[in-house]
Amino acid sequence: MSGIIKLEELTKTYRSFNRREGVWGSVKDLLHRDYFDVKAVDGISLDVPEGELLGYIGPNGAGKSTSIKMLTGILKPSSGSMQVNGYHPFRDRKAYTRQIGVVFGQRTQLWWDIAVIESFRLLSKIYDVRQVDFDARLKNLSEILELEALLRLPVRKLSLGQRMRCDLAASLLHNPKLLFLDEPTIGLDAVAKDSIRDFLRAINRDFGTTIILTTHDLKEIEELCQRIVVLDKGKIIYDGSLVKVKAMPGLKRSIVIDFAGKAPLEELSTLFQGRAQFSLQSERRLVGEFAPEQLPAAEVVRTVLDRHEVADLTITEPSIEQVIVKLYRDGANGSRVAGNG
Amino acid sequence: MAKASTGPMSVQAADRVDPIRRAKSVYGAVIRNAFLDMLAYRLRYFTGIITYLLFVSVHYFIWTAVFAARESNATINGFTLPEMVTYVSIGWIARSLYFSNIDYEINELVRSGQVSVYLLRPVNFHLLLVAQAAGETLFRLLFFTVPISGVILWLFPVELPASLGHFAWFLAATVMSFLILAEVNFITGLCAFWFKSIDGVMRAKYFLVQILSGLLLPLSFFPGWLQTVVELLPFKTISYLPLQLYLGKVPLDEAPTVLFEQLCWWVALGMLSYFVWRRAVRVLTLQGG
Amino acid sequence: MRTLSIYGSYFNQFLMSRLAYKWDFFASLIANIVVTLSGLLFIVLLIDGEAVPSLQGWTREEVLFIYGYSMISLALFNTLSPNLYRFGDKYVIEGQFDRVLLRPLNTLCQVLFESFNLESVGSLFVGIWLIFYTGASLGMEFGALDYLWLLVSGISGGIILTSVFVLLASLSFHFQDRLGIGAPVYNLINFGRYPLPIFNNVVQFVLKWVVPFAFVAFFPATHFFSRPGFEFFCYFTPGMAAICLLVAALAWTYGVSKYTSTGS
Repeated sequence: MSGIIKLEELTKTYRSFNRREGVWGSVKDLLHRDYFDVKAVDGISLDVPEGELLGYIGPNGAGKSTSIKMLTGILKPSSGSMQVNGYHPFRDRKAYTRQIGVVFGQRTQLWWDIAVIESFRLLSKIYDVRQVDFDARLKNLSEILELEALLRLPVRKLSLGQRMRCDLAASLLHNPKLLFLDEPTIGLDAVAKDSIRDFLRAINRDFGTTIILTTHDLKEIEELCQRIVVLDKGKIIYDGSLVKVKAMPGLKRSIVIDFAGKAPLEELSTLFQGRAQFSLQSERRLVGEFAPEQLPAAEVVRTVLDRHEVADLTITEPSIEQVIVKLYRDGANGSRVAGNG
Repeated sequence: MAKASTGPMSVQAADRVDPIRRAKSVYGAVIRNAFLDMLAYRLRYFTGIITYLLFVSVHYFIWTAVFAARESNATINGFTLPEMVTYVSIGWIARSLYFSNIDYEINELVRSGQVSVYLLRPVNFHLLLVAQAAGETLFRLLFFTVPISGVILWLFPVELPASLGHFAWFLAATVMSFLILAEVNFITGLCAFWFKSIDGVMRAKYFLVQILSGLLLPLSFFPGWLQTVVELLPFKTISYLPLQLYLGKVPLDEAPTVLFEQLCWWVALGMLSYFVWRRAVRVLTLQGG
Repeated sequence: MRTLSIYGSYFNQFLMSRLAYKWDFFASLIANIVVTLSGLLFIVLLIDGEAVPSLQGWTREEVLFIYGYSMISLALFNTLSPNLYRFGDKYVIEGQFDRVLLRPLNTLCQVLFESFNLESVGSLFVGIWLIFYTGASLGMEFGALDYLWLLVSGISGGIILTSVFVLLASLSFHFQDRLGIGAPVYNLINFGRYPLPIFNNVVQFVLKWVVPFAFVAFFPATHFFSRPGFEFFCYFTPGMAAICLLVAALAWTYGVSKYTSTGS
């Protein structure tokens, strides 16, 4: 199946220079600069089918923003080929922008001093949206995003969460096939985050909009995305399903057991020697961790319950943070983690 | 807010602290940083040199045209052509030293909201900006005024100062010009607390100072009523009076009175800028920054 | 037509946000009048008709006529230019150009139409008044073709000025440095506001072919004078405007491809 986004060996190189230190160094910079090339994005290949909700993650400087900016037509790739919904984002910029919606968390696309509804009207004019469609979409969007009370206010008077909802609506007025979101929930409170997540899920489901999401908030990725792409140092170090990556060897589950009596630390440590590590958290509580491929959870539970009276027991899957840390560590060793997307 | 709980990324983000952003607590450090900032923007520096040269050129040609078809020693309103060429050239060279961007800086600080950060710091905002401007002037002295003087003195027939004494007084007066203009710019910049955009105000100030300071033409070219008006304003002490010292139109024994007049205007403008600053702070606190 | 109506909306949008601060607008309007008059003041003070009767044979009225002519092009340019001065800071370094690139419109037009200096319109009227006032003292009579020429050359002059600043603004794509192209280079225009023959050959060459500000006011104004020798350059004004526009557009397009979006 051919995807809506196809990237092959996409690379973006920046020219940068070393700034010399001190006053004399700056004088020398004035006359001559030491230039060197930095590969912000280093040969990434990607195939995204239509209707997918893709999580795009990586630390600062991993090339996340740069690749999103190439995908949205802001930056011209240095080399490699790309095609999104049949367009080359930079070369066919004007036609291409009609196909996509973009929301950058830190920056609004709306006009600062005028009422939100005026911004919407102007945008619909820019994107050539018919009046009927505009009315219908605005009605729909303002219902889901609860914009009714905000439409008459100038953007500068909105809170961050309100502004984000308006920005989301603005990016969807022309009914784009793809939606790019760069840190859409940065700085938002939990309630606002929830409502935006629900909304993204809904438009992905109801309209089949392909969504590319970058965020620092890994919980968000966990809740929304079936597939993740992890970048590090300009390269893709993982591309695949979130479920599979969690089954990767070397990741640990954690267990918390509350005993009715005194916690039997030494007994359990001997029993599972080498396969699980335990430590005492309080007199009656024991915490431990173990790798699922070495020790099935069922065995742990059965063994503990058979021998002791247990008040409570919790087993936690490896957290996504752990997964990512592991990916970076493996990525640093030069191996691309296998995954099938 | 989410940043604290994002695992590996937040660690890396914390490692990326911009080394250039150092604390600017000591005014000396401020001067040094302004100097380095100027160096960082090297293109602005190159375009600036060319622009200054063009400034002087256009006025050189205008004055040559004014004196065209006259005797070589003819005077107009008390100035000969060589004197006028010197007046214009030295006027612009001096301007490259005394001008400052304090108004622009304040405007930027107010626009970006950073001004409230400065209010919280135990530094004198006014002194900080003047120190920063002084740092820039120091930079310009080395990398701007020296080369531009070289080019101008080479291209145009500029006369030497009337005497070494006159030159010394002229230099002292130019330092005062810096201080006086700094106050004018400070007050102009403070308008940003009241208006959404002060681009127009800054431009109006720019042109007013240019003409009323006598940079474009000596006050003796002004009609009588305008001369009276200009006498009552501080601007003539920025360019016209220092240039009179350079050309020797003010006798040496009267030179101290020129500096005294500058000093008086500096004190008066300083008091005015303090007064306006107090009101500006009130505006800021009322609006909640 | 659709494009025109979109930029019309951009203008309306700007007007709405501008009028949200109307005192601010009045202050700017007054400031603009001060700027216009102080520029005029220099010539009026210099060529006072007594101590200085003329500028190398160019009478006070002629010089003022040329100066008034320049105000028309300059008013057009000033109205459109505020974003060009701060283009490097506002769009490239701050990264606002991202937003511009995300819209299905020409990038340069967006930048020009996102902000206006409406108060500059004041100097348009001063310029027109000056042309007719000094024109009358010079005994000129204006026919239909003269009005048409005034319109065409005024717009051409505006295009030349805008193009030069677009070219300078597009340098911001290549250099991360803040460009000092605000007030200083603006004063370069002064060369084009005086009779060209008062300058030496090098300067004349530059004003004709390098930074063609002589086409902003002086050359087109000679259409109204009975001084021979400038005909070719006078009527070449629209051609020069076309060349400038082309060069600026090429520089801009090339610059956009080098945009690095460092902001954020």
